[in-house]
Amino acid sequence: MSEAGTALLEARGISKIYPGVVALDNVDFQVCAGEVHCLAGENGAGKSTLIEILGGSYPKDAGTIRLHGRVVELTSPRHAHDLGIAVLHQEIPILSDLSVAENIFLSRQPRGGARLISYAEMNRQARRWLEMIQVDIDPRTPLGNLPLSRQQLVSIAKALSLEARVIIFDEPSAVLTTAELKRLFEIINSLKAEGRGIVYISHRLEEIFEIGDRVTVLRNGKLVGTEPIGRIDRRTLIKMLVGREIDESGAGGGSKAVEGLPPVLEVRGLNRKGVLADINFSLHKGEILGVYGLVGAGRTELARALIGADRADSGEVWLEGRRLRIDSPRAAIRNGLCLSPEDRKTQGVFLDKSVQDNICLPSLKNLKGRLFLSYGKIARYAADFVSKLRIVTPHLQQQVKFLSGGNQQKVVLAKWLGMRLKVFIFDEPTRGIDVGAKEEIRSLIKALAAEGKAVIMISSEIPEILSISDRVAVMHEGRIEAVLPRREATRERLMGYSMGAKSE
Amino acid sequence: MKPKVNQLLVDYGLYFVLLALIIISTILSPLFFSYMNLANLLTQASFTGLLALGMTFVILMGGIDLSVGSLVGFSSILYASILHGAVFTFMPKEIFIYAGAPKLTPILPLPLDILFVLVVGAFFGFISGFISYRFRIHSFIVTLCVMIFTRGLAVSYTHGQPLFGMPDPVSFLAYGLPAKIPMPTIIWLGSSLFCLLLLRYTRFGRGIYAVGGGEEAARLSGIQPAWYRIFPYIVSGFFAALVGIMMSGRMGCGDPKIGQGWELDAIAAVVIGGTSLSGGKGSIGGTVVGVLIMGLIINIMNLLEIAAYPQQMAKGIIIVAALALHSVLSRRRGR
Repeated sequence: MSEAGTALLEARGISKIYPGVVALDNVDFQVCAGEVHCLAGENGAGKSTLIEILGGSYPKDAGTIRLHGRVVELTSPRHAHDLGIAVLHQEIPILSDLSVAENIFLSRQPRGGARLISYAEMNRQARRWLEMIQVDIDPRTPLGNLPLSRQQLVSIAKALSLEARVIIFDEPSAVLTTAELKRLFEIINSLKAEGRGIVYISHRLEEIFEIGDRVTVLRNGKLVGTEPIGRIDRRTLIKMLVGREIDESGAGGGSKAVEGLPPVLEVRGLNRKGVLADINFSLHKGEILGVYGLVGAGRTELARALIGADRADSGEVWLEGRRLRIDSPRAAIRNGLCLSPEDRKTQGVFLDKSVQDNICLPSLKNLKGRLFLSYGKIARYAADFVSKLRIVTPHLQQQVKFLSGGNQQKVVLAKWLGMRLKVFIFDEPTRGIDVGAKEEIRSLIKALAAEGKAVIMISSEIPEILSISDRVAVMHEGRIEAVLPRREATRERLMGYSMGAKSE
Repeated sequence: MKPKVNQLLVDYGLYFVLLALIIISTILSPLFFSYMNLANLLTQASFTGLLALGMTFVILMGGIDLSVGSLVGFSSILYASILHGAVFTFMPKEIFIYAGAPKLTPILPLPLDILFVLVVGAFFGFISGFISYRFRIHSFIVTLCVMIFTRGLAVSYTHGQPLFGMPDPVSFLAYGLPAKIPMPTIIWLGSSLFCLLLLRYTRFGRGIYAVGGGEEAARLSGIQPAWYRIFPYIVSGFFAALVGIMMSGRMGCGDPKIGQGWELDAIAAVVIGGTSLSGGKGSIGGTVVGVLIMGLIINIMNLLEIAAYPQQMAKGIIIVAALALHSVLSRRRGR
């Protein structure tokens, strides 16, 4: 199919050098009319740099970009828009206080008499673009009031309104539920049918195989190759991505029977108005309890209620036969519970702080001399975890924001490991990190359980849940619909319960 | 689904507060609705109001401008000195020794000298904005330095002395009463209307909101932030200079010490008017109401003959209480 199309956008020999790092090294990339070209690579492979260059955000250091066969020098995002290239960024930057329509038409607002903006006309046009992708949103709503998935639809409408011929989707699926993703794919397919060129970036291999016509893989800033999807399989793609073979099934040890193990944590009748309803479950020593559910099912809310970040309205939490009163994360940590939060960058780590500071912060109490903090102890403590967890960082003083997602996640884990906690809650610990690092994180979690810790693992990815859990709890609309032992948990059952099919 | 009343309170709370204050004032003092009192109240509000307009631009963009109070003083003395035939030469001390107004020897014809001072004010604003943008220094610090510098400049220029003598047209700017409306109020409301159009109905104005709401988001939407980051300070400096000229007319002299602390009144009015200090959210309409609310509070305390220092205490408490209430109400709105 791609062979049939003509090259809309063609980048040749693109290089980008940052001080000390070659972010892109002589990369070729091409999008044809009417194709979905997937761009894949681990974090730090150079995908983001490439699309920032194609979107006019960063200047390139070498190479040429051709649009419709003519060489163009992109100078700014505005310039790229004018030429018909739109980038839908991963962390969709939005102006939350401005209306949907204004976000769509920012700096291009339709004007009426005396060159003053006509809000009526702007809202009318916005509605028209939204209708084109069959989205029913009032263009006057402040964009910040919409859920992330709808914000994304708005940015698609914006790309359409730019008359973009090339639309670049940077990991759009990270914030979408299964149903929303299906909807997105329908939209992408219709855009493709109109002869636009689509670039689609994702960490999820299933998506690449489902939506893509071709895939280009980058690794360490270099082009690994471009292949038609029809000609490669999953295994080959992973090999291209990682540069080595990985056993992805993750089955490995298999699940334990947990019935015989002593329960560590028991939750009875936990309620929080509007988000959690009558939550009951128990968690055993050495067990990994997977929690699956669609976005908005209450998984994160459950985690937050358990560690006291949000107050539950009623219900009891028992730890090793003792009833806990947890009204703050501080109390939770004292009692031996911790959370690795979903939003790693803002809640899991301090991005501007060093690796050492991040790892040691909760344990500073134990890292004192007689009176004052001992920086010797602190450095040894941090270095110990950096090597144990194989955190890749040039030195302990590196700011965490420069680490890859996987290494940031390890820092979050390291933070809790030294504290002799009993229950570890992970909320989407592998979201947005690359295939190789995902596996590392999963094996670290398994190792925790093997040491006898109790683990709650929240994830949206069914294969991940199935590969790691001993039992799986499925949530739907704030309730636990079912708790299944691993051998009874199948993809179909999880999906069914998560969409509200009642347990018999 | 959401309680409608609450929503109304949040959206129009400011107007309710204004209305309530007017009613309370009427009840508390029979003098409140007299022409004299209202004209007085509006005149006083107008000066803060003009500063608050410029401040709204700056705060919407995500900055703050502490220099406006000093700029009022500097513009006032700069203007007076042009009328006395001296500019950019520090005044010899002898000028101030004899009593009474010295003879005016203006070096520029009248509309041009006003224009000159306005341009200088705008230029000081430009400097603040440029330094803050170019060197990535927080505007709080930059404008603090400009504030200190400008006050120092103003005071050393005339050795701290006021410079007497103002021509009639300038007095008209301060005291004129066309159609019985105080001239400063006409200037203030006219400027407000202009700013409102600029901020709400032009792409440039919306760009200021966008940059204040998130610079990166704005940039990715095709906005080049530089000009949007600098322009608000120019507006702010311009209005500070205008207030300086009008104050000269009002006092009949250029006074280098005028305007101390006025930047804080302007900021308070903007914030009461619902503009978020973190940028990107707010409106000129809100600022106008905020200024009126501040003016009313002071006016009613004056009518009740509360002394100046307790007035300050009350002002502090009322501002914080208003903001706390607003925050509680808007949080209840959900999300």
